[in-house]
Amino acid sequence: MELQELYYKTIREHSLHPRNYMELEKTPGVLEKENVSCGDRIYLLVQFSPEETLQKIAFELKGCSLSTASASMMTEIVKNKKKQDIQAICQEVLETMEGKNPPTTLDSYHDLAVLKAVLPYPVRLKCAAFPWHALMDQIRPAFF
Amino acid sequence: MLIPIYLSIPRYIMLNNTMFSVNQIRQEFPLLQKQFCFFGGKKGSVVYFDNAATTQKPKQVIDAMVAYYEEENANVHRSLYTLGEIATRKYEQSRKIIAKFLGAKEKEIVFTRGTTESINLVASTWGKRFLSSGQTILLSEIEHHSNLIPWQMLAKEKNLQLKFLPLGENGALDIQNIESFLQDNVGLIAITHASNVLGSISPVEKIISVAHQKKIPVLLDGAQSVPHIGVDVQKLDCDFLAFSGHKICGPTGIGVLYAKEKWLQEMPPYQGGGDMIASVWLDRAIYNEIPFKWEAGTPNIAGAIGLACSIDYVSSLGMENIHTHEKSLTQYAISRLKDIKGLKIFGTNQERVGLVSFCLEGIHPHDMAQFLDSRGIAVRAGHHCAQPLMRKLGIPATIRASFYFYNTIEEVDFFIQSLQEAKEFF
Repeated sequence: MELQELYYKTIREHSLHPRNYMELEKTPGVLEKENVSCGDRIYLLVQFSPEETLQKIAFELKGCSLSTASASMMTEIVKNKKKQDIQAICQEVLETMEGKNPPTTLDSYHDLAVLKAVLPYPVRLKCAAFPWHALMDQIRPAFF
Repeated sequence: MLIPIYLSIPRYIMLNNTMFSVNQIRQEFPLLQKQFCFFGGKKGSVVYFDNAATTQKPKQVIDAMVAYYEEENANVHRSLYTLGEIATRKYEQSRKIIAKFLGAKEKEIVFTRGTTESINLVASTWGKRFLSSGQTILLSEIEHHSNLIPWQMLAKEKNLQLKFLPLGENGALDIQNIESFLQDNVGLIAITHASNVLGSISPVEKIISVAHQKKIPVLLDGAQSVPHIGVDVQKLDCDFLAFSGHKICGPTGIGVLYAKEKWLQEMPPYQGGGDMIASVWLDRAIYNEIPFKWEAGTPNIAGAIGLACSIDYVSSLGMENIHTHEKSLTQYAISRLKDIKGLKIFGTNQERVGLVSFCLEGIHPHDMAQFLDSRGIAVRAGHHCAQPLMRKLGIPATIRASFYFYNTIEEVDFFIQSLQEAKEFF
């Protein structure tokens, strides 16, 4: 199957059946982020164990199929991972979207590999990167 | 069986409305001839429906700018040699062409970077001198950010109030209660002449006449009107008019501020530097005469030449003909869009420029734009730099198809067919 075809199929599947998607209560622990380029909005909940392993992740997103699918794939990738590993993953994925790493970097992230099809379209990449930025915001270590 | 209305309009009648040959015109636009490889691998020429964002350039405009750089390049207003004279003549000739196009005097035409800079110029110079604490600036709910943020900034600085003419039912401005708005010590009305989201043409004649009875000046954001319906500033009697070159087949980075001579004489300068002065001492300066007082530094000479050429180009087609052609394309597009189930059009005002905004149930505008791109169709999907209006409409984004004189009925047909395919796809 060609990359474009696989891209459409995968994005469609994830956006129609997003993993870890639920309507979230808008409590202070839930991060809310707006994609300023289009007005889309994500709510993101993450819960870590005392050992800093991600036990629960859930999102609610009012947005396009690409941002929804990207968020869905993201939750699958980071679930049950250590906080510091998640930070490294977020950084690597976002840097790949920014063109700083070779496109094949995405191959080690399962379904996310189909995003290679949109790498040449920076405007559309904002949609794909949006949930990843939200996760970064949520787990960024606090500076004092 | 009922025949859809668009099928009952014979094609030749619609095309006969057009007084120029679209196919011939398209030959003059190199980009429209080019073959692209679109998302998903389709190869072909582009169906360019994002003319409200920027327009394509005819070869004449590109050639005029190349000719300037290849044969006439020198700085203007200061070079005492033949080449400098040629460049100055060309630059000032451009101003003359633009003045004539708008029905203005040459000295009332200030070259800027575009609509945004033109409005910022008025806010930072005229606004600072003529508006005082407690006064109101009357805008509208449908403004582009470029005719909102400069006034927000000025309001904050000078303790002014902002008030907004409301959006009416059909996407036009509701000016029924304009008189009551004007009771509020209004110092300026700044409104869009044609909405970049809804396509509606604002009732500016009425607004200007009511405003002038109370001696309130009016600024028009002409970004979407000047290129599509033309504007006669004498007839309209607006005080200020701003527009961008790149939306009228001209280059980017050049635009115009028209301001009545009486205001230009009174306004303090915008930026300081070369060319805007008459005499300079170490501690003071006498400013140059208008309009040069507002053009500090070496201007965008090639841009001005390109813009004048684009204005000659659209003038030769005739603004009325352009408007008629766009109107028939838009009416046809709207009549066909209405047949698509789940599709909602925003802005149904009859008085309109050639664009239409809509949403399709269940398909996010970004997804739709990407799907259309895979068919070679360029549309805009987003908030169109009008977030307050989007909030008012209760949506994050729309899809917008905006036409120009080089677009065809066949392109609209292909667009509609692609929308139907998208519905099946998603």
